Amino acid sequence: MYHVVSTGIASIILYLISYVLFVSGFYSIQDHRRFWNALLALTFILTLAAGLLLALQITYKWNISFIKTVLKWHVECGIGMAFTGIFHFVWHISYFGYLFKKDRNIKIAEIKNVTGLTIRQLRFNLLIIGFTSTTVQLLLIREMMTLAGGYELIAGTFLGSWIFGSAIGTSAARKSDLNDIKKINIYFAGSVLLSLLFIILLTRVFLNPGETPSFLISIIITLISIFPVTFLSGFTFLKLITSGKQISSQSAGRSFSYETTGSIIGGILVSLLLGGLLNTYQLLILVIILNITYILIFLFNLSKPVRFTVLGLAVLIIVIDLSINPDRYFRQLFLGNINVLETFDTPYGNITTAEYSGERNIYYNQRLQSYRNDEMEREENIHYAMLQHDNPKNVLLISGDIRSNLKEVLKYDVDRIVFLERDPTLLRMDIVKNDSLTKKLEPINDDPLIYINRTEKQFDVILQFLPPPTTLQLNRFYTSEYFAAVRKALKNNGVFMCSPGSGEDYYSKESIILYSSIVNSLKIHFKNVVPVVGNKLYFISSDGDVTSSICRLLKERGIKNTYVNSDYLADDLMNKKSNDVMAIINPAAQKNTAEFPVACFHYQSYNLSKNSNERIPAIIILIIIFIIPAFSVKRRNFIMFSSAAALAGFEIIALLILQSVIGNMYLLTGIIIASLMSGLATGSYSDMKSRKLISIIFPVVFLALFYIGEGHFLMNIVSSTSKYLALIIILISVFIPAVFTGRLFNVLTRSTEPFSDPASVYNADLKGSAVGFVVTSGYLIPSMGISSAITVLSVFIVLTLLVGIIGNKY
Amino acid sequence: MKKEEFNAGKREFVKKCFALSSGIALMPCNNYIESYFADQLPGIYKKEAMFQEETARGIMCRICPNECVLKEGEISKCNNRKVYKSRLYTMAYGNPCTANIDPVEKKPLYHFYPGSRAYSIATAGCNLVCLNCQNWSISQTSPDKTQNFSLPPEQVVNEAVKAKCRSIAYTYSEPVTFFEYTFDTATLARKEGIKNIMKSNGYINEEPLRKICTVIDAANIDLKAFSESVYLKLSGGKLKPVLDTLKIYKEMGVWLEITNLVVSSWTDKLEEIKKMCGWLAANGFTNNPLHFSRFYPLYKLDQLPPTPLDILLKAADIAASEGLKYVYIGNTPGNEAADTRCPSCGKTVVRRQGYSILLNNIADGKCLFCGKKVDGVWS
Repeated sequence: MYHVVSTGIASIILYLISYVLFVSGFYSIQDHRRFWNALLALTFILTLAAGLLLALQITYKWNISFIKTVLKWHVECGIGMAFTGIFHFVWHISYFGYLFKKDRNIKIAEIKNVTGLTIRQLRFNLLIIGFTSTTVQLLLIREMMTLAGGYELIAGTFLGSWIFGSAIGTSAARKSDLNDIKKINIYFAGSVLLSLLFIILLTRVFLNPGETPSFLISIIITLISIFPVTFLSGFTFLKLITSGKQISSQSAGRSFSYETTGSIIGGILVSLLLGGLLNTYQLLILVIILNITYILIFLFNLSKPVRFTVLGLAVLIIVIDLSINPDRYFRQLFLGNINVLETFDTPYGNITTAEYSGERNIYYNQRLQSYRNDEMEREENIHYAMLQHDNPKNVLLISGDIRSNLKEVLKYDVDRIVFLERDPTLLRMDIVKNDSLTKKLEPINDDPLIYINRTEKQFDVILQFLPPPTTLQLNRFYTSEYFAAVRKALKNNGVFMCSPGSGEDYYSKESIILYSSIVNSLKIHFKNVVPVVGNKLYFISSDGDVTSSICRLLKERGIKNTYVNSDYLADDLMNKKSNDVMAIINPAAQKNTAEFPVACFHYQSYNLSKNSNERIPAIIILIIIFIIPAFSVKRRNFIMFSSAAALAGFEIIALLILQSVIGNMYLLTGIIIASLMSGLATGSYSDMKSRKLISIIFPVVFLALFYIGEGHFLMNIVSSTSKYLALIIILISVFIPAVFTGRLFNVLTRSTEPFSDPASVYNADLKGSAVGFVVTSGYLIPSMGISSAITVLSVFIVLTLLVGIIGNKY
Repeated sequence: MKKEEFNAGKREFVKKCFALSSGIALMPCNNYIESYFADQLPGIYKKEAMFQEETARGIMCRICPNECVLKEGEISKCNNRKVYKSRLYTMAYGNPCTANIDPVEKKPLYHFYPGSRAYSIATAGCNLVCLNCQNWSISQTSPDKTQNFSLPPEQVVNEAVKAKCRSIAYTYSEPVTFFEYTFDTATLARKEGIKNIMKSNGYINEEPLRKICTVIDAANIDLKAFSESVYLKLSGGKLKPVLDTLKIYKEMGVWLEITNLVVSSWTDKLEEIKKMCGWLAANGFTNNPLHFSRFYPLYKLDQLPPTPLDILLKAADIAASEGLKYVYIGNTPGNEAADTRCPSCGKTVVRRQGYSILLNNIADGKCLFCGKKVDGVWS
């Protein structure tokens, strides 16, 4: 076995040390290169000598006893030579590039405004590009989240990939000779269609019928499918900025503000229209048609009849789009053999009704929400917890399939059943039209967290059927704060049941830490917590006695069931399984709280363990894409990079806090992004004349202090107010740092120093945002909590300020 | 171009290339980690694997049709076998990650000591990669990654005796991959009068199968599909070896029951089910119970609906019409076709409710109504 990887890694580490020593001034670049050239020569000589010996041995059949050792060293030295050769090659790559370049003149292409656009047309074009990009971004992120299971890591990866693609687009724009704005617009419109096509094709190529993509596959699908639109978006934007400078000396900041205004309109429009008016693909098609129509009508000098024809066609397609609900056909593509009957988006997600071999199923965000004839789940969901109470009269059911659950709850002599469902559409679909049942049933449309915190009613039993804490949004229902509120909503010795996962014969370390964090959070508020292992793992909590001896309880209460009974279950085996679970719970595990939402990260880790062999490639891809490009940011642009990273990280945190308080992600994400974009537009629009150092230091210091303050107080402030006031506070909290970040962009693009051109600064901005999204959502929040995460981002900005201003003239 | 700009561009390029090469170098990190541990012993539970053969390409594991050929330090596809100093070792011996007591009906085995309990053990590892695996957290990993008990064969037998279990079941993941542990435990159990049950995917080579059959009393084999292409896509295996396994179990006199999990949109085509039942009937399996089991969305196939009841009922009808005498439907409480009828007089001889036996009209393996034989191991 040869040491390809270990030699490679050793060479890289050695090179890195040597490089750092040279950069730090310990020796000159000549010494650095001398060392590596000597190493290259040495490995070359050894490889050559050993190779020659091998050739002689084979040719003349020499009997060399140590020939295996020679072969080993020939290969090992060859590996070493290959790696040092790579370093040598990259030092001289520009020379090779120069050799093969046609005109041998290295230059960055200049943009010629060949289209003859007026400044008004250009500004409108910027607005349209911003609008289309943001609308498409919001729609595709929603769709990718739905397809991939809704994990925040996917959202972070999506946003990072978006920005990464845009950064490549801007880099390409700097060097490209393509300057025809009309053509570029056409390509941009086509790229949206291409991305849409890629999502469908890749999903079908990579996934089997009924399969949820793994994290690695999700990354690959995301990266490839959104690349066309992100690349063209960055490309077009930079070409328009440069064009703006040429037409009327319009600053990059001002161009940025027009684009951002379009983004704001897009963000708000998506939020409003997806609130139940239009569906994802319906809106996407609408945006594509509007974009193409705009290009043809406003950018091309078409004759009147042609214009009318274009308009007529556009209207026709829009009418068809609005009347036939194309989403049904798209969902059918994803669900394969399952026959889609109906699909529509609500402010909370997508509901799809499907039929398979005569049985109807409801999918919520592409996950099975309910299906028929499942006695096991239906009975387990209700009886394990209901049996614990002597006389349950008032029952609260949080979400779940009410049609199934109600039948079981009514086996007890209950007076009132409150059914809580946050999605009004789902609530309407679920309510049973049966008078005798509905007399006792009180359906309520509210977010469970808000309701539990606000209600003055008290219940004997609270049964929670929300999905496990797969996302930060769902994590809210498994936190210590939430359990405290649940405890308050229970009468003395009331019973609470939740299920954060499935019952298994073996619990992996990922699932143990997940369940430990939840049990530890439950135990703060309840005297007794007992796991009952069925097809799901149920945690039943109460201040009274709780037990896993279900058969005994069944006998005492006289409840008759099909599955939850002594024909299928035995108390000794149930107790053994319950004790086994309690034995593996780690009491020292971090509790799940709003500040430390660890459960959802443990769940994501558990999910990743389904494809453990893909974990390292996924991490490597993320590092290559998001972290390594960050090294190419120029030192003077560090400030832009870190400010953008902090703003992106803060955006994630703001969304998280918003979910904790208000609970609705999809509807309000667009509004939060719109607020952020408004701030950026305001900041970058202001005509800054000063390029003094203080105009950089002030916003940076302000941002650092602002983030630290917000990190520590925002959660407390918004938690103690009404949800509308909380929303306003969060919108303002996002707007303010965005203004200062926009201002920084403006200042930095006005400098005359090298690498202060808009493309370079914008590139740093995009790379910073990508890193901020991924690192904050994937590492900082789970490992150190919200407050510390934002503090780290603040410290990062100040550090980069120091690094950035040393040796740079602003 | 100015010299400084040129140099700056060059440095920039060097940095990017360095970044890229670091990324590429890290790609085979998995192999590196594996090779790092290659020089270490396979753990305290090491035992040399049976059915290994030295080939020019490396050591071949001949337990199952995967026939992995492994070099020093490499691990088999089933995650359980590793080459150390040019010999193949099993990493799954005396270290089960799960040990439970289950009703024998849960395996499912309906004609083998009904109402008894089975002491059930499993180590990590499986030689197939089913997209719908309900035990993926142990089947798709290696014993060195799970949290295990220390339970050598003699202790397994002691635990089974202590728990008053009639049998020991090698189950949950795949006993073929912990073959040596299964064989040694089953040999000891036999001496103590405890029966041995294999709950397996049947993906095993002939020679090891014939060996294990000498100590196994009953087996439930998953016949996952009846199409080579579906088998490959759904489980990463082949159909033919499983069919051969069924024949050998029968030939070796091991009591055999067959399970067919009907996976929505994958294995629920009635014409395929008909072909499968036809093959079973034609190859002498009419006396072996066939369990059609309902699929639930699990592991990677979590977006599929459960198998519609209608399809399960139709499948049972097809099986009966093909001549199979004992056909059951499982995983559908309240709708199960779980009772055993005498194939001669048609009367219900065993009435089941869940895992409980409500009525047993079989004595000495014969129907109490007509006196004819009812296939199975009843007492």
